Amino acid sequence: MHVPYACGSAEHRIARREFLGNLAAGAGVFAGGLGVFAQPSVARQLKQDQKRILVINMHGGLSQLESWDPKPGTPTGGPFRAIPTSVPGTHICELLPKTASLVHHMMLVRGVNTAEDDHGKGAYLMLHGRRQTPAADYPQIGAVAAKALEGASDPSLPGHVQIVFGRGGGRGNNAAYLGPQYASVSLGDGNPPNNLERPEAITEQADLRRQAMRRQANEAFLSRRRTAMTDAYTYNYEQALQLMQRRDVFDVSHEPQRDIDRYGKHDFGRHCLLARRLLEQGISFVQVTHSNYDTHNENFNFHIEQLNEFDAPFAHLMGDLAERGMLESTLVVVLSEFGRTPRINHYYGRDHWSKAWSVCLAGSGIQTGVFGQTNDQGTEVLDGQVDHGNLFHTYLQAVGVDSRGHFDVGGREVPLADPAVQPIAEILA
Amino acid sequence: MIGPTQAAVLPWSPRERRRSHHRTRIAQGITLGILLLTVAAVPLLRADDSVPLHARLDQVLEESLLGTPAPAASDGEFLRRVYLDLTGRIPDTATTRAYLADTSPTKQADVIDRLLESPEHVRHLANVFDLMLMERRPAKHVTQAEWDQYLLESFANQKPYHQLVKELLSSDGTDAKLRGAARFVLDREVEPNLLTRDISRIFLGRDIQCSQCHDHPLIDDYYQAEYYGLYAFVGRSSLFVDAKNENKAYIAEKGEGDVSYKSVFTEVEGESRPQLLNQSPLDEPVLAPGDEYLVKPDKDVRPIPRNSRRALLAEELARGDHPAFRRNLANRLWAWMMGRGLIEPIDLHHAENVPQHALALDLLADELAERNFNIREILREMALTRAYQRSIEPAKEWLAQIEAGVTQLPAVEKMLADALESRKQAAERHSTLLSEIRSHRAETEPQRQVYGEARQAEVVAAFAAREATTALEGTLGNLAAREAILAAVDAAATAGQLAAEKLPDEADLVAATAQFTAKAEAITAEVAGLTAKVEEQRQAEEAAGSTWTEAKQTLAEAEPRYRESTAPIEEREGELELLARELQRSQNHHQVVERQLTRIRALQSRIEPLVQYETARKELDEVARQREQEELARRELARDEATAGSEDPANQQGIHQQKLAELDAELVQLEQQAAELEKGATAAQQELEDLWTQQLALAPLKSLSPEQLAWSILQATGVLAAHRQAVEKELDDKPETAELDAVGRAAAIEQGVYEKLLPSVQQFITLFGAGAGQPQNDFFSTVDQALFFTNGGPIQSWLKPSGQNLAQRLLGLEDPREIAEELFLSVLTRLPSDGERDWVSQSLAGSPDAKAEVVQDLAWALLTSTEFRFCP
Repeated sequence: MHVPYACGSAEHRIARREFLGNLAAGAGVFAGGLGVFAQPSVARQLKQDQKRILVINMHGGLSQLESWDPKPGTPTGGPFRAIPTSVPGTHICELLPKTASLVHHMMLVRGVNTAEDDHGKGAYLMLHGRRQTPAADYPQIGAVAAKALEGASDPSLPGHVQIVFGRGGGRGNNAAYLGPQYASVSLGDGNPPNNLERPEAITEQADLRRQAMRRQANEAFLSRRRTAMTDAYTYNYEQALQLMQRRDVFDVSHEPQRDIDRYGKHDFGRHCLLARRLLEQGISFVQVTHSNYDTHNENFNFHIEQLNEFDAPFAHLMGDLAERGMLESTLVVVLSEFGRTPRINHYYGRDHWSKAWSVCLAGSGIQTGVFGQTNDQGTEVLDGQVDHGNLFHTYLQAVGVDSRGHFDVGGREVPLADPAVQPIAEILA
Repeated sequence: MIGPTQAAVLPWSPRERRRSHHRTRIAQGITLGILLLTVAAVPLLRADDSVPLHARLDQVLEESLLGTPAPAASDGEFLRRVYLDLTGRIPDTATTRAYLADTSPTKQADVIDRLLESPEHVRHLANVFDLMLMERRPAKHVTQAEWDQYLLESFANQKPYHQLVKELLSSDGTDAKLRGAARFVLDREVEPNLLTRDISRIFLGRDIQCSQCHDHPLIDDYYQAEYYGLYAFVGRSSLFVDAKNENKAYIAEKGEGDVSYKSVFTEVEGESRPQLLNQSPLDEPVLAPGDEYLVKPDKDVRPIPRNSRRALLAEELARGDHPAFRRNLANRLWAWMMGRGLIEPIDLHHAENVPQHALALDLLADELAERNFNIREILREMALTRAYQRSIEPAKEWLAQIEAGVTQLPAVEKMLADALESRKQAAERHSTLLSEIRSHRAETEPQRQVYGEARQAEVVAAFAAREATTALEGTLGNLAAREAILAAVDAAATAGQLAAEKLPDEADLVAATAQFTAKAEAITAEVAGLTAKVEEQRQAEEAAGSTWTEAKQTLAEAEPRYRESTAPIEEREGELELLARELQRSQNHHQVVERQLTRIRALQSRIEPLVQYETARKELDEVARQREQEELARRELARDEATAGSEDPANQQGIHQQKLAELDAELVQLEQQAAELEKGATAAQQELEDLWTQQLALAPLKSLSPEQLAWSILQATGVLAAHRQAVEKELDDKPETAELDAVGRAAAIEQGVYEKLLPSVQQFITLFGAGAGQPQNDFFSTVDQALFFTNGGPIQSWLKPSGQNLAQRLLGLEDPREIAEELFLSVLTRLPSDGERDWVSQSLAGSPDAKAEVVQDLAWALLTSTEFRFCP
């Protein structure tokens, strides 16, 4: 007998679902905001307004005098010239010629004072927006951003990625109370996250079969009881399958050869290109590290070498983001753990210096120009002094997140950023 | 496909609803239930010791229930649950088969008792407490092995919890037997702020971190004074690294020093004095200056104070009479067994965060103390409750009962208003008393200081008087000795003179005599000096004595004045205690009613989508029935026509066809409508089930901890059994283990298996555990975990057939029904349903050449199922 409708009984529902080819464990039955998943094609379309953050960490302590805040011709200025930029009247160090042509996209924050000259502690406060305390650990900016921006981001991709040297693959321990799901996924040179490749012994066909079995094995149990936790758990398996299919997202070698050549074959060049790829795919937070700027000896030679490597890929990345219209929704931050002393030591080096240094911001929610000013020899902030806490608030505000708000973590309210500190209103668009 | 009979998406099909429609009776039951609530003389329950604790707990819990709780879990579910909770892993197949076949009425209690005696239970307890106490902080100053050993021994010997806490807080790392215990403090680097926060969170359930810089902005009873009161106990302790002993770490403590603090908001200042919660500062022994140390601080020397404040804290907590201390443990044990604390978050106890079941929590807390904090006994009682043993599926009639309960809303609202009024009055008086006490304390501060100074002066004077007496006695002793010598020398000189007179030419003799004489003179002078000193010291002693007498006098005067000044405080504290108890009672009552009301309101708001969905489904059923009749009629007509061979003048077939088409269209529409409503209904059902679970009418779905998950997979795949066999064989081959008794052998096997498989377990901890220093009890799920299960090496290798492992056993079976049975018993601790047996058969029949692959896939599917990941 022909029955042109399904009566709605369990048997029919399952039969129909099987007929449709076991679509994602029953499209449409996900509760709790996971419905997006049912339509992978929609999920893949990057939302126009999705905000993202790119942090470039100049590891070791970039010299502000050889970069964003040059003081040529003064006793502390060193041998390099300051060159004009795309913004009339604004000069940066001659070691960044390509970057100079993009300064009209940037906000140079020249009055940073973080009062912390230790590498570990300095890096901590710049990435966490607070000073390290023994009694409490705080999440890194990447984890906070991943959580705050997750509603608008592609749920099948990790929200917090850090590109590292070496193999990578694992999770960092940098999400504190927000939970490991917001901790960074480390990517080393195009290596995908761990376990993304199907074992050789299992064919795609066989995998499909066992995945179908898994979904079926769940049916009876989930009909007895379903909770937000079981939804999250079953969803993660489907997410894993999607991620396996999309593992190319993490592989920079899929970028056009032209771009690979343009960005450069060295690590930092490849990492910048990978960062562009990841941001384009809709990952909320990407962090790239350029190392090492800890130039106690031969500060000038090392900065020539380091910034020469930095300048081109960074300028290409900035230029591409601007050209592709992504800069409006992407905040770019070039930070370090601190700057370097104006005083030049006996070894032609500069030492740790946190009293008056610079951070470069660009893109989403940030005005362009220069904010803050140091004195002639760069030994003190004269105007517009800010610290790590102000900057941390500003990053979040810039991507449309109320940095004075709270997360609900397991029934307790935790502030997104240090509640005793304010964002830098003057530079927010 | 799986179990067609049980695979309904919503558990109340219209058929089941109709069967249980005894609405009036249920409604009466609920009215009665609510009335009972208001008059229940619950405190009386406690006095009746003849009723076992688990029964009293159930009574308290069920009294406030709206509707019928979920039925008992199935045998398999109970067994799996109790194995996971008490031993940290699922049972093996043999155990499950035996348990399912067991017909004894006491089999639940029997298995609970058996498990509580097992070495696996000791290991699991050690693991649970390790997570609670250390939160996966890396072992640094104390080795993991020392710490594990300490916990294992403590739990094997059933060390009472308060004793354990005392050792954790007071051990300084020097006693080899308690080296493990020192890890709690040492691996927090003896950092006072971290210790303050964690001692408060872990032992008192109060996360007062915010109060480090100011009174808590959101929680009224977390004061900065509380933070620094606790800080004072640990603020003098510090990490001591012994350069002379391989840089081993110990805890040093100073004998003096307090910190002052200031609110960053209000600028109110204070000084830390050892005090717990918001109580009065503790009395400390007064010591004379210079007398503070057993070992004084010096370079490379670990100072040891005469009075250790850390030890004072350990003593104070270990008395076990602080309600916060008891309630915290009761709540944490409950959260472990029941998946959720009676207070959540488990480290945020405060007046406004009302427990889900205040009476149950108090009952448990008090019983813990009465049973000398014996954890095993309490776990046993918890496992025996009906609340613990319930199913994860609601009772069939729950929905009807909720609907009926909603009609009780106005009556309960009135009750709440009354309760609120009386509570408000008590709360006002309470806060008046509190502020009076605070201001009295400030007023009596001068007297307290005078008294404190007098105490100090008395101790100093006593010390000085004792010193003076000692000095005098020393001099007197000296004098007596010198006088004795003088007498001897004098006698010799006199005798010599006599002899010299008689023998004047003997130069030797004369010289000797002169020497004796000179010596006698010298000693005489010395004696005179000593005599003078005695006189001086006698005067000093007298002066010290009278200073002491004066100091005693001053103290004797200051003390009553001080006591007198604090009398109003004590009086108020007395009243406060009574009132607090009263308030607690009224608060409990109020909470019960309020919760009831919240529940009813919550249920009311969520029931609507369910009712709508059900109505739509009924309509759908009705139209479907009509269509069926129409179709029957049409067929009959066709048959009649065929047999009669008659024409259809009225074109009745046509009418039927048209009607059918209309009904089909209607059905499509209704089906669509039902599908839309289903989403809302599913969400509403989940919310209702959450509410039901919170009031313990329904068992929660608990996620397995990383360790539980790892050990259960090792058990299910047969890896555990293989290692166990290997360990048993090793033990048999070793002559020294032949003498072990049964208990010792079981422990040795457990230890051996544990050590062998720990690296495997570690991988799960990395993926499924929260970060170091973070609470370890929150569920989270990441795509990494799914990728690990999907593609990770370990799971694949454990599923490969080998030895006597699961895949190999399944391969060895011919009958698909037996394969299904072995598979489900091994992985899910239950027999398969008919549908599941068919599923296994069909899967095997579908790929006859690939049996090995299919059984592995089936096992993988069950291991990755929600039923495995969450404890039903």
